[in-house]
Amino acid sequence: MWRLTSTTLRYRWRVVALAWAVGIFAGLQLSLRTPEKLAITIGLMVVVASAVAGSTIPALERREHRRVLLPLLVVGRRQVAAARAVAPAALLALGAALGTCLCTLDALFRGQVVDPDLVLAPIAVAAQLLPYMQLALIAVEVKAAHDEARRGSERVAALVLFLGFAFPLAINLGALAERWVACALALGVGVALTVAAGVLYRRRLGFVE
Amino acid sequence: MSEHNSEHALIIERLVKRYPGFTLGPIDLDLQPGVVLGLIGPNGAGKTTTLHCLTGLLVPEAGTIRVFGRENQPDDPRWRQDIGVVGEESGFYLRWTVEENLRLVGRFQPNWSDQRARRLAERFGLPLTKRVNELSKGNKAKLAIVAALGHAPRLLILDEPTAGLDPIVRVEVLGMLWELQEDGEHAIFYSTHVLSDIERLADELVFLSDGRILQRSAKDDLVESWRRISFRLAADNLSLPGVIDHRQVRLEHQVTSRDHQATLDALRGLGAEGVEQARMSIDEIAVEILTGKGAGRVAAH
Repeated sequence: MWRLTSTTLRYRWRVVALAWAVGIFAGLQLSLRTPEKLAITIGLMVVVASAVAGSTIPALERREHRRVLLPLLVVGRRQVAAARAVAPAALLALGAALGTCLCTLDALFRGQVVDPDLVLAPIAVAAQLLPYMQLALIAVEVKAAHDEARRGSERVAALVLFLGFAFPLAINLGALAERWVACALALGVGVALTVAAGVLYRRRLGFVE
Repeated sequence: MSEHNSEHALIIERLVKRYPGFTLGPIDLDLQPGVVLGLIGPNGAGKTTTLHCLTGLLVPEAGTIRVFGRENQPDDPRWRQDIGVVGEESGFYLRWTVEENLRLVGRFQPNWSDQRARRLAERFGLPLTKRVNELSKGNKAKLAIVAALGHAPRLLILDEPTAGLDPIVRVEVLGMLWELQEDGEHAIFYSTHVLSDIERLADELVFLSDGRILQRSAKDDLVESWRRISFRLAADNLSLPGVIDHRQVRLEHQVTSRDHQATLDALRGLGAEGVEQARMSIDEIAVEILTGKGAGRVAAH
């Protein structure tokens, strides 16, 4: 799975670089009046840009008919399904890591005490974004199950889609106000949705997209 | 003969794949090493569906597929080590070079040989340093074939590999496949509706229509037994053995026979005059079979 994921990310380095460049540029623009918040703003923008770029990866892969290549490779369907679900999340994780590094370096450079709330903010935002990113993959699986007339799978996928949308929303609306608890829950939902996206893809009857 | 030759390259048993308004199968097929099997049928017959089931891109509703004794389990991909797949489309990484793509395939193929892939690429005149999106259609097809052969698969699955190629490249590709089957080790499962492609290559032909196998025959048997026969005979409403099509203008008759020997024997008995026979091309035979005229017997293999 990791080899497939890393291949996808290596191949999409232009998308990643462009997204991060846009994120950095947007962060620079937004922090013109508040230079003391430069690092955190850029860090957060990089995370958002990574989420956007990560969401485009499945569609980009589909456009290049990647599934046709898979019969040539000695990889199992479970690995393919896992790699497909993990690649966007991995890009988001890379963005979160970059954002956190920026914030940490900024704090160290300024000689300030590293504030975990501030430094880990990119990770917190990434955790909140992860469920929404994976919802796109779940939606694709709802459609695939519908097209293949797998009514049971379609209902399950639709339920996952609904819960995956409702739960993070409830968290964000303040049902759970404690920030880190909310982030941890969102991360849990995101991971669960990533697993669900992989499982639903694995259960498909056709991979001819 | 190697020990591989003692087992089937491919066994398909009771394969069924359903779509709304179309059902493929049940399909039963087997393929021995060293044999080139041509799967022939019109568009929509189920050729690509069959091949997608073989390569794991489609999950059949029923049936089993075995490649050199290994069932094509979705989560145990070892059976893929023995197959090379060339389709109409290529899923290569367009912005990577030919070499990078081949290296990538090699990383996921335990039996991959860089040397072999390089040799094939050189033989084909494939520019290794060119990006895939800069390749001509012909070169993309060559890349697909090199990528499919780099791990020396014992079963090659081809789905219209020459579609859209110019005649020169087509001949090159077919020549390469011809050489490949010469060693008697490789089995080739070749799906196409361009019959001239497999006329030279195929040992056996399977005719598929509306998701069902109409007939399976050795190519040489078909070419040998099918004939167009013309003769003069003062008789109407003739019933001749092996004849599937009969046209008559006064005393002149023309028949299409799938068993020319039986037809000629009968004509001799009837005292027909001016008997002339002509061989039929695979194209002509296929049309007769696929239009339902000659599919009366499902040939045993």
